[in-house]
Amino acid sequence: MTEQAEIPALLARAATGSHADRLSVVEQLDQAELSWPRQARVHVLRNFTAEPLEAPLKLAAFSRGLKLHWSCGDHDTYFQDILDPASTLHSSQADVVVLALWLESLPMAFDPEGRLQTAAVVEHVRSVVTELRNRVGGLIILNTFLEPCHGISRGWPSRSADDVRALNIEIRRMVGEVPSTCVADFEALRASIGEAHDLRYWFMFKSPLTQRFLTAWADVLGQMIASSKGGQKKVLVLDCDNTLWGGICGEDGLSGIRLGPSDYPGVVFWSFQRQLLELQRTGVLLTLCSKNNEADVMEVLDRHPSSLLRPHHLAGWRVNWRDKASNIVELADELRLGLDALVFVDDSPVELEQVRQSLPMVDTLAVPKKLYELPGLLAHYNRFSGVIRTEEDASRTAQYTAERERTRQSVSFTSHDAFLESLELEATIGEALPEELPRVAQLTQKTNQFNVTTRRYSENEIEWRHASSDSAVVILRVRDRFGDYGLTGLALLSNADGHGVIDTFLMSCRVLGRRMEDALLDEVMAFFHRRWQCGEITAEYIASAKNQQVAEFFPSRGFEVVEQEGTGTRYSITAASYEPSAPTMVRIKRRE
Amino acid sequence: MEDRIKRVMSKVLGVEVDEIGDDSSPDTIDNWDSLRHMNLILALEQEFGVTIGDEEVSTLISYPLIVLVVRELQST
Repeated sequence: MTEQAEIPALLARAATGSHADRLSVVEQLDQAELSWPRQARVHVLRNFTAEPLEAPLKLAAFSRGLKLHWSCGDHDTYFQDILDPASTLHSSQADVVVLALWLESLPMAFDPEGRLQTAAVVEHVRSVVTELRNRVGGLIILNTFLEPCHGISRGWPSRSADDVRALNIEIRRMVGEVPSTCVADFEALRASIGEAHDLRYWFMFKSPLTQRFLTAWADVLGQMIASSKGGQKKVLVLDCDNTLWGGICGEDGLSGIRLGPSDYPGVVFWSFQRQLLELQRTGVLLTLCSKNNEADVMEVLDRHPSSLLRPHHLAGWRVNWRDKASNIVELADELRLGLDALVFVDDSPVELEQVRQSLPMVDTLAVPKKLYELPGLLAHYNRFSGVIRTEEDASRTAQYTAERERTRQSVSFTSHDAFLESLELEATIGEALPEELPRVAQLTQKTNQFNVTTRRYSENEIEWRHASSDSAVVILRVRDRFGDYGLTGLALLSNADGHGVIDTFLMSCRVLGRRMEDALLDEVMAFFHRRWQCGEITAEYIASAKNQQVAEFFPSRGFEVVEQEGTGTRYSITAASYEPSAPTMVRIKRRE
Repeated sequence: MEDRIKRVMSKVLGVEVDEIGDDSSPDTIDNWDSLRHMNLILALEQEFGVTIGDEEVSTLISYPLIVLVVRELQST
């Protein structure tokens, strides 16, 4: 007995196993009494041996949660089957008809000398499709033709290859005018997978396609069938920094991020944006979910000369400092779509994991480590709807733009702490080591967002602070089960006769959202007491264009306003009244 | 090697491994139709990294013959 819970493992075995494994998995899934979200009845009309398509097609359907009932007409009887109301086509009650035609088996396709008769083929296909459309409902799927195996073109211009291409263009144009009818592009499939012809099986059994090609074709068909049945992905939720461009817009600024048609790696992101626009034109909605200042991101989209993505391409966005799962829930709500219609793309394994854990119905895609593979990420992802394009698809973004100004309700995740716990966070906090001082200076110069005073220091100044007995450089290193983030937070402290001063307190944006700032502040307060026995500590916030996310940092942790002047606010707190707030799930290693 | 052949046959033909023996052929295994035969040839070629000759593709229709041909191909 095959159980429901075994389905993912079986599908995984089919995806990676041998030909025999695949066949046995299909048979097992096909015969077991399992419940599938959707069903389809497929009937295949053909003029070649199409039976080898059955197993890969069923598998492509299963992997999309679709149970497929397969039937197949006799060899080369497709026209009679269409016209005869008593044929297997009409008794199958199919909701999808695959009209699988092979050029070399069409009697009118070639003259006695073997020259392609384009007009005759187009006319034949036109009449077949017209009769079929008049007699059956549901989706009809055709395919374009491959150059026959006697074709001689191997890269040089060839009359026969040109003829087949011209024929295919005609077929697609003609089919484009028939409702609910689409075409699997065999030439594009061959270009992407390589060898299409199985000459042995073609000549012996009239079965012309290799297993690889059959599998790729089945995948396209599965996608089209699933699209026609609904339940497909409709929305891309995109991270910004290091996903849409290289670098961090809040830190590197408009001119510092990497994005553009000529330089690596900017060109990778630029190509990715092109792909996004192409997807958007097929009706996929583009949205942003980024931990950033909204103004910084919008500045890039509005003003970056090489950004192809502009605000009007977006159906919605959440650019703020809250956790991404909550933001994604809000986006789905705003678009009035189920969460299972969303696909989330991010470069951070931590963000991806949080979304996977909180929202398992959202598909997650990671920006590849080999950055140049980024455009392949979406090219290989095949669960978007939009295979069957409609006018309404292309205008969907505009509809949502109109609805964007809806009340935004706050969603909170009780599971956020559980998520933090699952990260196995570990913080090392203590005085900087001499070899860490260059990195400390660099962070003071680069960090804009989580930086309370934005004071820039040279390496010399940092060394002086490190050496002096009345000042200290306290650093934070973070790691979790995804890896080591290195030195990602720091505080510059000083002492004046028992009065402590926090001169600088900053965190790299790579570790935000994990409450590491609380861990660092706790240790800073303990450090003041340990080192100088400070009774009172003052801190400062100097507002900049980039750092409003820390405007409330000190007051929300018990510090009181002492003085406000211009963009600066001074706070103080007594050592005794400070309450530690580091999350208990962070393991803290104190460097003595 | 016999076991591996039986496992491949079992998966492709949809019968239990211990149902496969010296008398196994399309006459004794109902499932063994032409489609499964095409798949069986491909699966055997993949499993053993061999190419079965065009003469044998259509004539390899019993378990003992399969063992014989696969052994021959592997030794060359």
